[in-house]
Amino acid sequence: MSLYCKEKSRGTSLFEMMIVIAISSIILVSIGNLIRVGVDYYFYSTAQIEVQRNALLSLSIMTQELTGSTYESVYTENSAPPTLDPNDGLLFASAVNEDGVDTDVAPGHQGYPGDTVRDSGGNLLWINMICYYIGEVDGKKALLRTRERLAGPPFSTNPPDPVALGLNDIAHFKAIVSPVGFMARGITKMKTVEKTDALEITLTAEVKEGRNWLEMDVSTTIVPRN
Amino acid sequence: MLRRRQRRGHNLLEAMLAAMLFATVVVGLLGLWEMQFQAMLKSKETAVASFVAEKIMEECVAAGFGKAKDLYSYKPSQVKVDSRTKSGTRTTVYRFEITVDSHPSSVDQELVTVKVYYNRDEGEVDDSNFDSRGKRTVEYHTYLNRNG
Repeated sequence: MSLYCKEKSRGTSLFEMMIVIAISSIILVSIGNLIRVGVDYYFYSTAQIEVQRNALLSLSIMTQELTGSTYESVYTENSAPPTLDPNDGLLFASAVNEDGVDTDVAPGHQGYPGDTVRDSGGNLLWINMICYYIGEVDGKKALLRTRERLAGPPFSTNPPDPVALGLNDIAHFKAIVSPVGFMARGITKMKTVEKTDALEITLTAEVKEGRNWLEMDVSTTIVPRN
Repeated sequence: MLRRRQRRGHNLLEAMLAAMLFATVVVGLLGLWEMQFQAMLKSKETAVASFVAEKIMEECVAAGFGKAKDLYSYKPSQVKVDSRTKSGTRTTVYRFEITVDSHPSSVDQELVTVKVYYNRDEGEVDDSNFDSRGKRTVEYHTYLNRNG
């Protein structure tokens, strides 16, 4: 009986306390890690979705613009001297008016921005050179777009050849300060492969969030058909 | 005797039963996790396929009556997404086609269908092997009118 009472009133020993603290610490650290990994993954997933959407949207816009161009007017730095980075720029002609209300580009032209400009015979008038390139914004790589208006009016109905015009220099377009369009952040590379009458474009997007990283290539083949 | 019995620990059978139960629950939970991961990947791919289909359909509508079928002349028309992460590489090919059918009762209308087929980890897809695989499809339809 006396033994029973003694046993019942006994408190927790230091050893028991240490074990309880050790187990609690392990559980708390595990839960903390789990929460941190979860939060990291949430930010990573959000960044991943954003970068994927940016890459697809950029590719879609490039597809729309390039299909309105002509194969003779497309220039990629793959055909440039090997001293240049072969994969950081793409140049092509456009017949779309982007200069606001402009009735001077062709007789009878309404002049609205976004119009495809044609002469009285219905032929396309090439008025801009468009350049897509990988540049930097706030120290981070991004896909940028710029353009230069060709000499005119009158504008040529023949597809302009960037090499013949001396415009086959992506560095020249990179130096243009305005207008520069910011297309998408997180795009770190642009690769172009010239095929017969078609162009394969690959955009590489990168995400780094915490310990997670993703590198994604989005590619398609485009036929400039005008 | 009674006191000795009360202080007895678990026997081997009880421990094994407990371990088995625990293992079953853990394996079930892991399976659930894997299923959820696959469902997330599938929904991501469906979202991309829908995006591709929507953009192409927009282009068809912008091109107008009689011009949609010539929009993507390069075959196979596709968007390829290669993802590289620390856990590995995954490739999904979104192949699309535009079909134009005349309206059964009106010559001034045509039915445009945009179909996007997609499959994961299949690399390049061509006509000979695509149909034999478990493909998934997103399909959009619209009528185009001759007079806009």
